[in-house]
Amino acid sequence: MTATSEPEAALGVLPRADGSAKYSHAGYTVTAAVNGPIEAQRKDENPYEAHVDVIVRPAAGVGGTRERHLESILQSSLSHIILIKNFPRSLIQIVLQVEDSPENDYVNTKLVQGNLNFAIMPALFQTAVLALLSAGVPMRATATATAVAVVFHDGVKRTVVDPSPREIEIARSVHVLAFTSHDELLLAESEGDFIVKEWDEVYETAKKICCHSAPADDGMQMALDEEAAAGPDMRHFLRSTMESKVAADLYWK
Amino acid sequence: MATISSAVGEDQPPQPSLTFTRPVFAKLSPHPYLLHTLSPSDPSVPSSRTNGRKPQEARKIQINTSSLSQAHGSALVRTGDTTVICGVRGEILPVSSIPQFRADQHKNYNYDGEDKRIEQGKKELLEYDLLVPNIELATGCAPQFLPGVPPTTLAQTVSTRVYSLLHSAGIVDVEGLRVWYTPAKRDEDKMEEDDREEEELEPEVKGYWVLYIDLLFVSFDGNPFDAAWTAVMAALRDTKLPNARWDPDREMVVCEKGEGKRLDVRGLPVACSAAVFLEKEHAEDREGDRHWILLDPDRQEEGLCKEVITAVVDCSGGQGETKIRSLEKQGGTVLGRELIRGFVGVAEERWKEVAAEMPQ
Amino acid sequence: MASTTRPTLLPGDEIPSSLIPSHPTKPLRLGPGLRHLPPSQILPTVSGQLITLPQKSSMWIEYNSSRYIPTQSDLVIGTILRSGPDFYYVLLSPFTPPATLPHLAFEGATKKTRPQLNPGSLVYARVTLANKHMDPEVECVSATTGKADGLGPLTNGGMVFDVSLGFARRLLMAKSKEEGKIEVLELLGGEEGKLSFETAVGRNGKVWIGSEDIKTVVIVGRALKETDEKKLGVEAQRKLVRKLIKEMK
Repeated sequence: MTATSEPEAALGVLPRADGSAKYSHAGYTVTAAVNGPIEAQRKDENPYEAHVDVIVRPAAGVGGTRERHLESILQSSLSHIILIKNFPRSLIQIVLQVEDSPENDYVNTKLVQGNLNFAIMPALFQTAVLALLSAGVPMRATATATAVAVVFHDGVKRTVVDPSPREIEIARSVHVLAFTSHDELLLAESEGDFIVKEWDEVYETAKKICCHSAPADDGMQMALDEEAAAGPDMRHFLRSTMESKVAADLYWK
Repeated sequence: MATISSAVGEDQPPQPSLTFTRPVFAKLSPHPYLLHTLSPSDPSVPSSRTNGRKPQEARKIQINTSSLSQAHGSALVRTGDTTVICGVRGEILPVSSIPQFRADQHKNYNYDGEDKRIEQGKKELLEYDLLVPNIELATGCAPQFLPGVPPTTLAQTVSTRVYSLLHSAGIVDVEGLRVWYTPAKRDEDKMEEDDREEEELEPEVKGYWVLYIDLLFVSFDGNPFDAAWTAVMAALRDTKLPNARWDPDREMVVCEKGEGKRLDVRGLPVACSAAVFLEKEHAEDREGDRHWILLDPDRQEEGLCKEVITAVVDCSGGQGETKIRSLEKQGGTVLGRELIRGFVGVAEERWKEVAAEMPQ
Repeated sequence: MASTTRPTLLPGDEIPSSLIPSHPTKPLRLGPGLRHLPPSQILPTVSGQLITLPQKSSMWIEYNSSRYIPTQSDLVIGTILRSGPDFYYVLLSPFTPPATLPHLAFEGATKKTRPQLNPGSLVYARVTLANKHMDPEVECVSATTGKADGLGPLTNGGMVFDVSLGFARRLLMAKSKEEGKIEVLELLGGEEGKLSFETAVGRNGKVWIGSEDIKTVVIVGRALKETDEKKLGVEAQRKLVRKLIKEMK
């Protein structure tokens, strides 16, 4: 299954936008464009802070109520990490285009409009953060996100990181968590049937993926065996992606 | 205490003074006003919100069911000034008009285990789209809703959340929505013969009830999801679908007159929302700044808070740990792991309040 | 270049206190990409390389972006959008509120002698007011000396080319050849190309090339854009210039 693949990203893929990023992980590929701060429409103008406008475009068809919901979740979370108070009366626009999503190899791929798609949320969130970094939009902190599912299989409980569509379908509960680079919980969306104790375990798993960064000095000595089982190290991924971008930009230094 | 008075000259008493009444002050600068009432300078005055509630006090909930005569089930839910009416109406969907219908799918009634059966049922509901919620924030229920505009983001968001929760929580048993038909033997007066032949004539599903769940906000004063979800639960528990059967001669589903059967509703999840109010309105929030978790926020409070949390819990299973059906937190970083854990306890209390009001 | 003294930082990263310059008398000056959280926390807001100058007691984040945010005393190239009763409205970057340029903020301008600029004309100006709560203001004359110092309308032919903000900063460096590693302009104008042209560089990512000869304008513009987009080093720039000169002849 594709779920265990490492995340990949490319920055500045759209030359006309102020910032852009293409990100693929766990079967999802999303491209984001960020423009801003630019002049806001009169109705969106806020005298104290920038308006963050998130637009999610699905892989096929036009956005519906589900996309509106995803947009509102992303908007409130991203507004928190962008320094929106620095740009009153302006607009920061983030357009997210889903390019590819994993084929559901089990059920017929009917477009279910209303149902919330949990697995795509981390990909959308991560792409948006990368594009914001690429645009140089001033931010309070960076953030990382992941999806975790709790699956009961033959009576055995398993915690699955970056679940596939099939795993989500049979999962007892599905969770999406995002943490800022200051280890604060930024976003938590859970659905299904779970108890507080299970949520705690999910929290631990997600925190490990989102916040555990390899020590910068001895990156070679990363405990590889353990990493492979626990899932990708998102913060390290974000840092190395940005480091190579900065190195490319400042090649002349 | 909550007034601003201007420096009026001492010897001119009839001057119209610039003293604001409390409601005017609350309207002019809501954030300082709410901050002031939450942290009164006099320690003997308890901390309270603008609306007089304590920070963790929800509005009282009133539920009235069967108020719509034309719907199969309905409920009117009122919490404070948020009033929502929900009507459930069943429509027959013959299997012949489901393009992706698979006859073999539900034939596992020799199911191996309850869990598997529920899982199967959830999928059937989702695939055939048997639950159709729709939410309308009526014109005039609050000033921001204008006539003749497309559904607001809020309406679409609440609608998605209700839809998602309806399916993930497995409220409705699909069995209650199926219309079965057991073919009678063609041969005359051999209806109940030996067992071997009965086996060949398996009952089959000829149609489904589709439940159209329409919600209308009559008045809106914050916390739409909790009210909407309570209304959906009350209306579904009130729903009675007429007895429907397949008429093989006319090849259609016919309904009998009369009351019909009550819909089977599993569990009683209750939604509980709160918003986080920060001490600083425009400055950046920092560690050490105070914050308050305001349960069941009203419209004004929602406008002042960015971080929100909703927990949907179900304590109807009796003893044992509370089941969480959904947990949504976004917009800030105040609510960490410990506060969320604590919030589940608050939601349990809210569950008791709502469950007590819910008609049996 | 020791990477430990110039670490790459992401927004919100902690800056090692050993890197923060501590000058005995001069107050610490923070440049772009940094913010101060009272009492004593300094945090980056963008991702880039931390540069510190202990002698000048200043630090900033070196990064590249494409959206210009007006900053006081920056030199910019603006397009006149329209004229009001007292001001010209000048566009510094697309989709942002226009900056204002007073009609009299030109060298020796009076009500009678002020320059008449039509919509679409270009001006080289200095930002005099950059405040997040107000639209920016620019001027084409030094308020203290009353001299233009090279600012003013950009006339007699020429074209504007868009480059990235980092590239514009490099061009504006006092020693753009040694520090910014940009040689194209010198090569094109020097022995190699023998082209005659003038340039004006705006911090807002715009470079104006003026020349009598349209061909020269296009060649210089292309050389600059290519150097920026393809991130060319010094050697590659020489090669590019040779190629362009050859194509022209």
